[in-house]
Amino acid sequence: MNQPADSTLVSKFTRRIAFGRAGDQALPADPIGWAVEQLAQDPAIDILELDGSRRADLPADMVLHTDINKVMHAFATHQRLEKESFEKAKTLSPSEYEDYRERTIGTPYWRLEHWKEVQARETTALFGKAPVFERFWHFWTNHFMVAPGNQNNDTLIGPYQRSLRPLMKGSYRDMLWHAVTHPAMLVYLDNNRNTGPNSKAAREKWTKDSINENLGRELLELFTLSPSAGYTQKDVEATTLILTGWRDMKPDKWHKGEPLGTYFDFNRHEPGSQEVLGKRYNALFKPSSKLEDLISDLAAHPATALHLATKLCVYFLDDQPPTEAVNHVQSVFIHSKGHLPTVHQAVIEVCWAHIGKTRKFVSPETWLLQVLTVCGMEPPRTIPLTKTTPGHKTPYILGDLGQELPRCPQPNGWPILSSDWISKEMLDRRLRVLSVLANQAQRAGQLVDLQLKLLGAVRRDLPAESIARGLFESARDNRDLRLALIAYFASPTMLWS
Amino acid sequence: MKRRTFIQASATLSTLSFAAIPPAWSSPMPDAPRVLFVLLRGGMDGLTAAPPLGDTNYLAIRPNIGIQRALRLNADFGLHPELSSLHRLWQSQQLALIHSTGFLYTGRSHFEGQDIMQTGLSTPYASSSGWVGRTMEHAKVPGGVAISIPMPMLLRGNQRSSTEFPNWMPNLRGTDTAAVAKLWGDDPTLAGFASAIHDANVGADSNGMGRGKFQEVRSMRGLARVAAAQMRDEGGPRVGLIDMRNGFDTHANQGAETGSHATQLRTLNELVETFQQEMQQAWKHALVVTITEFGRTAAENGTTGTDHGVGTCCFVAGGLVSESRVYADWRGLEKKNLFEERDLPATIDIHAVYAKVLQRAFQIPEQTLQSNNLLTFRPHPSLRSLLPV
Repeated sequence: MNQPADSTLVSKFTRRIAFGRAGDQALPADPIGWAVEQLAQDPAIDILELDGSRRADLPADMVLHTDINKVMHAFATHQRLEKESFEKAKTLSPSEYEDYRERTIGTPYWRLEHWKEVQARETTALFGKAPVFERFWHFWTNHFMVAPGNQNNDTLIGPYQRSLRPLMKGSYRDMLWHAVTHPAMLVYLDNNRNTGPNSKAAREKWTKDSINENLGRELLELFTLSPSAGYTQKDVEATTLILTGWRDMKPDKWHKGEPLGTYFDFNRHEPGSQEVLGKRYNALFKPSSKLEDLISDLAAHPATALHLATKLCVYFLDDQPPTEAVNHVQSVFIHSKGHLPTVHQAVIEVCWAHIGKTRKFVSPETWLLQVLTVCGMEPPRTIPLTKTTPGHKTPYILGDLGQELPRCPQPNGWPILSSDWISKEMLDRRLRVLSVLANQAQRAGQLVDLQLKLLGAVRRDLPAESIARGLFESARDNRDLRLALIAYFASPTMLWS
Repeated sequence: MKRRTFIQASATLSTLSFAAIPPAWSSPMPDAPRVLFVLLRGGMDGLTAAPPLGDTNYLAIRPNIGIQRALRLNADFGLHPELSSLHRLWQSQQLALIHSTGFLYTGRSHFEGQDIMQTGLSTPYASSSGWVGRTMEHAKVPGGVAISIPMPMLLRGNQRSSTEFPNWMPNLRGTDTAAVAKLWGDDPTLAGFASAIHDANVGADSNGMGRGKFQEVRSMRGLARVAAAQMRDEGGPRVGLIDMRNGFDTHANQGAETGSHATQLRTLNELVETFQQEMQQAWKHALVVTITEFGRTAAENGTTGTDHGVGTCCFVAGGLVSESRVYADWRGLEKKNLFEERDLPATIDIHAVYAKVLQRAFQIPEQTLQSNNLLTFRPHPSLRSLLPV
């Protein structure tokens, strides 16, 4: 790790482990120290201005909820409104109905809810105090993916994702427990209806619900062992039974005063013991401890350490990460008992150690954040107050680039391989977004300022004799901002972090 | 994209120039077969899409989600009522239904399954190319187009397939695309994309938006229109792909004649209907093939849905289908006949069906597919009359 601190490599490292540095900002003198220090922070997340203060011009009721009671109330309200709207369909004309849906569901839950969370995520990454922390948070929200699904779960997603942030200071076991038992996950992967066939509720026919393997399978496949560990369908079924009865509690008409949020419903839980990977899980006095024990065992399983070490190294280093890097992170994971700050530090260290020989073609979200960071620009400010509010909106720009947050199509998260982010259409869209940004800057009168930042970045990152440098210089001579942006950001140096 | 620009895009991917001289193999073949692959991600429930009406166990194991008002195909099988266009194709001898079919893989994972359905191998994450892309490369098929922002694995493995998706953003200028060609000239991964990007921006109207509304253009109907507009053209891509990216994973409340699975099938029906209309005369030599990663449990689960399973059904529709027929090696829905006593078994290797499609579309003998490791399969005697050459 005694590499000379070549400024091109330091700059590359800041892009890899965060989102890069502005063109007029100094690079960190001690890259590892700079990155590790940010992991220790506990950065607040909010919709921010360029200077890091909370944006002042937001609607008064636009709040990022953290209190689980408020979150479950919002969820219950959304579900009630959805049901009511089906009733309204019988009495309203089609166009009245469309307006009604738009007002009660579309605007608040499909547009504003997701906009505020995405805007907070991106502005905090750009203008918050700890971009390295944010980059790791992006990794974990992708690992424990919860996306809009079929149970009107929109209001659960942002609060759930933000609730993972403090857990980045603890153990993987605790984050796993939190994610798997969070109402957002229980709803997203249908576990709120997963009911033991021999449970009281099933025997006495209070419900027609029975087992549902969705969460049980993903717990083994995505969150812990991965299929290469060789578990069987029997293990999936036993895991599913252990998960029976774990559901969300919300203030709907069946609510009897239980605490809101995660609820262990013994009446829906499969009694008796179950066997997963050859170990029997039983609980004589506290049935919910079966899941606690299983989660602890899965988190400590060597296959989990390998799965996570590989995934972290693919995400931060290279599609084919150096074996020694994966081995190192895996061994740190095992020896620290999954202590995440220690694991994150190991990732930072191997990332720096191998920075010259590894490369990543990053996701559209990370790429856009790199562009905005270097240029010192903010993402589009437009708040989509109605369906037809004019102007660019951040989630849709991400969608144009091929990654509309938070609408990840599947529970395995957005792709982490470089090769999945390269296609004619994806490259074309990155170039077109640069023109859109150039126009935006020109209209806002930021031309000179932006040229200056870009010049600093070009001199820092592009070799003097390179084609990109030459193109940039001629674009600058012609005051062609669009071409200048393309010369820098579409250069292979910048596309491959 | 217009025909001519498409040829340029597909022909010059490995060069830096914008030369307009297509190689000999891309000379127009007006009657060359066209295949549209439709990816149904999430695991389509074959017993909902094509219910086995003649199986006495069907409604017994699916009391809440069984289809009772199916469109009749024959004494044994029907189609979901939302699949009316497919039913019309059946009536005009243009629909083959392959049932109780699937991959040899039985791991029931979405992600492994979706990898395998595209790589065509028996183990997941073992290849970076798809069985269609590899075969196109081998058979020198001039061009394919995925109506998609990312390039799906299925078409990877050749340099002549591209991506296309409706887009509102203003076009780049010639100076921009020329700069990009210079910047990427020495990058082996990126160099090949420069000319296609040039054509998509500086060529004719290429973003597929036309005059339609954005939402409409991006619907499955809209995407079918984009695909057909290219594929019907004499020198257009011979292979198309449309990706229905989510919605078939119906663990809970999947519904029956109506409901969430029915909505997915309606969308599929609209897609096929639009593609047929828009292909116009070219429909005569077209095929539409559905691909999904697995089927679902035979019986409904505890939440009026179905969990991940194995066997499902596959639709092959189009002018190249010579007779409407159901191809199945049906073992029945009795528990003891199900795979691991729970899933519809895959009694026909789906790869054998795909091999028939490749053989018919690209004039490449099935044996060649096997011997070149393009696609390995277990032939099934019941498929003998499917897509004869």
